[in-house]
Formats: sequence, C-alpha cells, structure tokens
Amino acid sequence: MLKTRFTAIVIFALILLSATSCTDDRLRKAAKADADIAAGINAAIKLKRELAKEKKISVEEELSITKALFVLNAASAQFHNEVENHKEWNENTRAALIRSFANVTAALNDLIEKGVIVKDDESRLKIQAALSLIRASTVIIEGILK
Amino acid sequence: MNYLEFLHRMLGVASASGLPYAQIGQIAVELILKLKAHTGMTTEQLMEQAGITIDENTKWLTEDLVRLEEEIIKIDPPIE
Repeated sequence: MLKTRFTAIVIFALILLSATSCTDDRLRKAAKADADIAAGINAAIKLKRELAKEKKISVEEELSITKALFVLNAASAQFHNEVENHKEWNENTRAALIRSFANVTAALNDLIEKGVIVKDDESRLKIQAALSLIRASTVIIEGILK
Repeated sequence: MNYLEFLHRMLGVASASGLPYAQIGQIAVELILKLKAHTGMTTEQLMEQAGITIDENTKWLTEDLVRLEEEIIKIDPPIE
C-alpha cells in the first residue's frame, strides 16, 4: 500500500516536473534567441564601424544604419525584459511577448531596408549577411510565439 | 522649478509615454553633444560621471551616434 502511494507520488511529481520544464523551455528558448539577436547587433555594430573606417560606407549611410540599429537594440532589450518579467507560460504571457516582439520585427525590417540602400556592393552584401543572422534568431522566436 | 528639474520631469513623461526609441535616442545625442561642448569631456567620460551603466551595444551605438552627428556638423555646419 505504502509502495503504491509512493509510486503514485513519484509519477505525479514527474508529470509536474515535465510540464514545468516544458513551460520554462519556451521562455528559456525565447531568452536565448533574444541573446543571439543582441550578439548579432554587436557583430553588426563592429562590421559597420569597420566599413566606415575603410571609407566603404559614407557618414550618412553609417548614421542611417546606426539609428536603425539603435532602435532594434532598444526593442530587443525591451523584449528581453518582457521575457524576464514572466515566470510562467500562459496566454497572457504569449500575448505580451507577441506585442513586444512586434517592435523587434518592425525595427529589423527597417534596418534591412536601410542596409539595402548602401551603395557599395561588397559592403551591402556583408551587411545583409550580418542581418540575416539576426533574422534567423527572430524566426526562432516567431516559432516559439505561435 | 528650474529648467533642470523641468527637463528631468519631461524626460520621465517621455519615457512613460512610449515616445519612439529613435526620438529618445536623438534627445540623448543632442544632450551629450551640448554637454561635450560645455565640459570638454568625452561621451564615455560623461556617461561614467552620470553613473550610467548600460549594455555594450547601447553604449557603442550612443557613442557612434554622437560621433556621426559631430562628423555631419563638420561636413555641413549649421547656418548661424
């Protein structure tokens, strides 16, 4: 009798643990993908600084990209805070994260447009490659928020 | 109320109102440019003195925005 009760408790605990880790997984994965976005922004900053130093992009082009990166970075940081503020996954969490993540997507689209107008072909390709890495992380988050 | 207190409160309102980041960034850059001209300090020194601890990306982007605005002013100075 005692053994049966113990087994039932263990099974219940395992189910609970599995459900909790599944919930935490989504938030953890979203936080990880957002950290990857921040790392991608960091790489993009270094790249555009390098291109500007080599005079491959103009001051106006660098300013335009910097402004767009600034907005993306702020949106990504806000999304990060939103993820941190939620301890469990439910519909309210999902809705709040979708709202916050819309700013990240809009900022990235704007940045991609700004990157496209860089005149130098080689620089434009390098910028687009850096931005596609950021885009890959946003796709992961979009998948989590579905 | 003096203008410094006015500015402090207005920035609080701007932050709470959801003013777009691009515009908040522009205000920060203009303030840093004015403080640099007045104090002769670098952007990094100003942020350090203000006790601002921000992530590396925001720090670098703010420094870059200030540098680029300065370069544009040098290329195309405003008409006095």
